[in-house]
Amino acid sequence: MKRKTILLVEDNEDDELMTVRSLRDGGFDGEIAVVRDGQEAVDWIRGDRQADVILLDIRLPKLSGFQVLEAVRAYKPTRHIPVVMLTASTEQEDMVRSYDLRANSYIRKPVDYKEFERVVKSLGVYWTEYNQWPRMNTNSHE
Amino acid sequence: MVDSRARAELDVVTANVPALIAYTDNRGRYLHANETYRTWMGIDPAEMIGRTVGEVIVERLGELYWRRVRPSFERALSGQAARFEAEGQYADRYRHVEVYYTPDMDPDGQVRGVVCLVVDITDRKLAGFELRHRTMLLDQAMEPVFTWVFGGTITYWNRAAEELYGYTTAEAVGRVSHELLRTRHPMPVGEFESELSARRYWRGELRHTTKDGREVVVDSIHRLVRYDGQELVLEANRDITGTRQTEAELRDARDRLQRAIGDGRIGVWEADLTTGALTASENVNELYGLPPGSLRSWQDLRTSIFPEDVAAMEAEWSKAIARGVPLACDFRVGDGQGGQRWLHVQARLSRSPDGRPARLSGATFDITEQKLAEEQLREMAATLEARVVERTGELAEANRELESFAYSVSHDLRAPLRSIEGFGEMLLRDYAGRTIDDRGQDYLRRMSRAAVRMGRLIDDLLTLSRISRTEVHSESVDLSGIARVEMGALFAASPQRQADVTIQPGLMARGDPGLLRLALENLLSNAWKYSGKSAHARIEFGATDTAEGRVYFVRDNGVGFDMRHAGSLFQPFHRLHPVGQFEGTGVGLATVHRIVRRHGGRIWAESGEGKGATFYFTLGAADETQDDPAGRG
Repeated sequence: MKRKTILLVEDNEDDELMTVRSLRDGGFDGEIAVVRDGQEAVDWIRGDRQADVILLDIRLPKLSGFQVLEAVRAYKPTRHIPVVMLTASTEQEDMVRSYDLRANSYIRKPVDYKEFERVVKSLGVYWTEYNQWPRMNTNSHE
Repeated sequence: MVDSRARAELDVVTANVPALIAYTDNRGRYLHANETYRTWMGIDPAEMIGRTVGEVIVERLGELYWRRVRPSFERALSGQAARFEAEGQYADRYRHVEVYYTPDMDPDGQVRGVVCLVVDITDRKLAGFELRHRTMLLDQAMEPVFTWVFGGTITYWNRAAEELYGYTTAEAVGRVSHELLRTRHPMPVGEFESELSARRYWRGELRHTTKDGREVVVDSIHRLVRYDGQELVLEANRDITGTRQTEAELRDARDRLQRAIGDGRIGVWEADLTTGALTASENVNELYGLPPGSLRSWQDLRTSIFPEDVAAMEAEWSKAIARGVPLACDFRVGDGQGGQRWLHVQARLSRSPDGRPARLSGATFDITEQKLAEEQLREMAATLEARVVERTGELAEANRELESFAYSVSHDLRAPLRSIEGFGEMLLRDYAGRTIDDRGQDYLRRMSRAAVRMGRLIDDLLTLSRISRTEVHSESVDLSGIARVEMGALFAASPQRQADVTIQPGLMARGDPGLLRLALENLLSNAWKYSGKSAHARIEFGATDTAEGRVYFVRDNGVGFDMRHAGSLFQPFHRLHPVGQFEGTGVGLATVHRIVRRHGGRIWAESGEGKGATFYFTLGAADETQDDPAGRG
């Protein structure tokens, strides 16, 4: 079975560390690629590597999470990749906008680590398993 | 006996007397008749001698006359003097006469003869008739006429005088006129009397008081005449009371108009369109800022108009003249002192009988102050608008700042908290029992709890600020349904707890669904929280209809609070219980308060320590309380 890759777009190193640990604790044994700003994220997806799921913060240096999401959905080779917004924002508007831009999920980062851990664990498991399902699921979106 | 000589002498004496004089014997036969008989009776006096009085009178004056005269004459023959008046057609004219028959007695007392004297009184008679006739006319006269003896009393009073003054002839005659009428002369009475007696005429205005006390003004003519040996005043008056009143009113109206025009703000004029001549009140020149007498032709009315206003003015003039539309326009003129003045002209066209435009009559007003006021108002409005725009901009800027602040709070402030909490947790997990002893672990847990608590505080604060920032929608909201869902959630979160919950079914409110849900959640979770330590917890949600409108309530039988602190209940971060005892940030009730206020309602509480608490709230006028009778939801 092909080794799965999660792209984590996160400028906060603490959050990065916690996210990575939660994913690992949840049993995710694939690759976790980390980029620190929006521009890097866009460059990464346009490169020769492919992510199975993208965890995307909204407030990012250079390009915002929304702009990254738009770029992902606008670029044919990446438009089918599941994108999960993982953000500290509690603004209703941010969530609405994310779904408008075709994010697959929206998760508010809880302060409570245990909650955080639970959410990220399930997320890693779900989205990586999702990508093992037949490709017709994503083809149907094209 | 009368001898011939004596008769001749008598003839001479009586010949030229303008009366008939004759003498008869005691049987009534003429013994003498004077020359006047010839003219009056057309008979030669000599031929009368020897004929009887009866014969001659019947012959000359007729049977009727004799019958009128005969009794008196026969009485004279019997010795009684007679005097009477008679009238008849004499030879030369119709005469009124006074007849005297005087018996001539002899010393024995026997009638010797009769002396006849007939005097012509026609003139006197006619004069009397004339007087009566004139009196009748005077009585018919429309105007009061009366006579009074100069220095004495009233002798005549006509009907019009009775009507005007209210005194009858009987009441007026014999009274002194100026006393009766309480006459007020325009000059001292002495002066008035001397003028009347000198010129025998006086005319002027008098004020009289009528019987019923009314004062009348009369135009009076006095004529002083001599009559029957007396100085008589003929006074004829014309009642001009009404005229004087009308004149006074007219004067008053003119004065007022003059005052209105007098301040120089309204000028009136009339332009003759055929000759071009302009008739204008003097202040029109002044209004136009021109020296007196400058405006002569109606073209002049346009001379000093500001060039930029001429075109509009011309258009109005031609429209008024061509189509007869009332002219009304505003324009500026120089004020003659380098400044400007706003004028308003209003005019109307009149046409000649053949339909051609003949005259334009108008008024010119100085509306400078009005224009200035309007301009100031416009400026003020513009300034105000600019200020509003500025303030709105500032407000919008402040709102944006607040939003970005809120965003920063939610995003950036929570991140370090998450780090504290997250790494604390990891420390506990990874090193507990190895490097960190129980005390260190306790400290770490306290740190974590504090961080989590601060995270909640931030969340609650953001919620609170969002209530003020978001628009309140008005929809129908099923409060009973919300309460049921919330209670379900609370039971689900603490499955071990027991409580009696009563929710009044079908309570529908009008308001913002999201905000009302938040308010109800806060109140119910409070009730849940503070009744947590009661043996038999009871929580109730319902409503009562009062004069103030519908009042909703959330009631519990929990720990309650001291009413002395009720005032600070709805302030953010204000808690009535220690943190350790009950969880919470102290923002919940402040949030409810703000939601209720934003709906135009109010909130209050009733409680006592250990007696539970009831929170009441209303939702203002917008809450129509259209309940769902089926209690669905």
